[in-house]
Amino acid sequence: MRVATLVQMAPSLATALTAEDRHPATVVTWLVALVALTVPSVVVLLRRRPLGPAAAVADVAIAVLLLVAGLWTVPVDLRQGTWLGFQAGYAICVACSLLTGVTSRRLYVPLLATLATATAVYQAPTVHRWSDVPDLLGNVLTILVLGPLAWTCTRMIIRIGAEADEARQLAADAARTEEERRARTAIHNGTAVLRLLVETGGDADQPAGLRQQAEIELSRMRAYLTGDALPAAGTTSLAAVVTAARAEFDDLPITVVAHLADEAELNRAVADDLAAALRSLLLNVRLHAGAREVVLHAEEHEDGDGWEVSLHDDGVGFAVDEMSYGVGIRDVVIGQLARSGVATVVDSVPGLGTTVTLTCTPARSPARTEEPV
Amino acid sequence: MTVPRFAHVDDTTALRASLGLLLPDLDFVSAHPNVEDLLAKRPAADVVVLDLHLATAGQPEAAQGPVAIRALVAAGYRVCVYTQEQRRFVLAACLAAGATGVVSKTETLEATAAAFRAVADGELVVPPAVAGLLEVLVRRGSLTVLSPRQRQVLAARARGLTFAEMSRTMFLAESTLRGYWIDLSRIVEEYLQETSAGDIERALGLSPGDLLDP
Repeated sequence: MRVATLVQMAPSLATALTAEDRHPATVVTWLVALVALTVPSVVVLLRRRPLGPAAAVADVAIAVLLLVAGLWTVPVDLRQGTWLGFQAGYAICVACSLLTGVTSRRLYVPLLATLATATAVYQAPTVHRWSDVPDLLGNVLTILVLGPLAWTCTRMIIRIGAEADEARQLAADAARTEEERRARTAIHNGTAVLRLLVETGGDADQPAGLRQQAEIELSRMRAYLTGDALPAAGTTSLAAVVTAARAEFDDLPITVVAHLADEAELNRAVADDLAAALRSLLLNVRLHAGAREVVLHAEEHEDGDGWEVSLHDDGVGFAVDEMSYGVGIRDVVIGQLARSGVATVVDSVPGLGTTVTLTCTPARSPARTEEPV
Repeated sequence: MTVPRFAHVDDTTALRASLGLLLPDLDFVSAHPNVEDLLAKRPAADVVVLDLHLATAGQPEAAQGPVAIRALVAAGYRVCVYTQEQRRFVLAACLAAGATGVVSKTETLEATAAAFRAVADGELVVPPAVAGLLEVLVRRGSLTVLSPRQRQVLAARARGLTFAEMSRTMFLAESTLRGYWIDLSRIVEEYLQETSAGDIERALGLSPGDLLDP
């Protein structure tokens, strides 16, 4: 706005300064105006943010002084509709530019009123008859309407910018949290398997499925590190997934009851998530439960709409507190499965055992978010 | 209330000699190496605790499996199979032959004693895998006379839940749930008596003979 005013004033500069009947102070007013227009623009560009209330007060004070000086330096017939009498245009520029840096209405309204009053005083001598009044009124209203409009638009732009910054920060935080979750998901089961490999020592002592688990988890971790996707095409049956999970843990007393899951089809991505979740749950059983009997039950819902998997152990159990869930239950089971529309319910009683129920109801399932791992 | 009496049939000498000692709260009236011996002596027992595999080198002609169960049931005994066998269709065949319970030899002594007593009370005692097969029979319309509550209890048993755990989630007393289970046991027993093995095989999606010839 200030640069535009400067450009508009430029063609009249030579005429104003060379006029034979010019007032001696005319040069000073033009110089002050040029400096007052240029300096704040440069400072704002360098700081990349608006100047504060003090600068706005100073800006309005300069504009008022120029209007008052104009009473002597600008002939009456040049005070409307010419840039030789730049003061009126300058006042509009101030109302629409620097004054927008004021955030307090209590400061803004008096400043704007002062500017409008000074303009009215400056142009009052141009009114010789009633028909001249609308011109004066129009100029004053220009300040009183355009100024607040510019002020409102600026506030809105600043608010939008602030909200955009906030949204960008939220997006960055969400991306970081998601990346951390993916990392935890990718390596959680792997660390548990590594721990078991270390604790079980020599090959002869290791459960038969442990090496197979290690290979699967190695693939998951490698896929995470390289960013490559695991094969996700095709479908499999729910019964096949739970039966395969049982095969990996043949050192545990697991009974698989999956006759009612033979015809429940899963796409490969959901099957992989379910397999990882079951692996995580069974690792927990192996490490912590001390169970004498583990039952892995799977069924397709009777109406054919969705399926349910439950894992029950008669081990030591624990007091259920969602806040105390480890990475396995929180991320690999609840978090990852929720992305596939599978709800997880953990029910455990110390001394009685633990039941984890995974329920998929397609009607409530979101479209699964695909990701590299 | 009369104390139930048990007879034990097992080809393993050490187990025959020790089971009664290991379960001192139960009244074992006799122990036999095979079913033929028991049927010859006809002990005054309510429940026969029966090992599933009895035909060994020492007694190759001994009846075993569903044949042995049918013979004992025909003689008026209630049968509880006590075995290391875990194949669900083999265990289901035992139920189809008339056994009231199937108890694993890997169970703790406390759980074993409780299971034997439950069988003596007429309660169906089956591992979750076999309860899962009953669930299939219900789902496929072969076993149709269960109430919604009985179906709930069966589903919970198939998932491995104890009556104590069921009580928490279903908000019913354990004794009430056991009542549902005993009623269900009676219905299953009648169903197994009235339904041919071939029909059960078809309902389970098995090949002919799978259930008869474990």
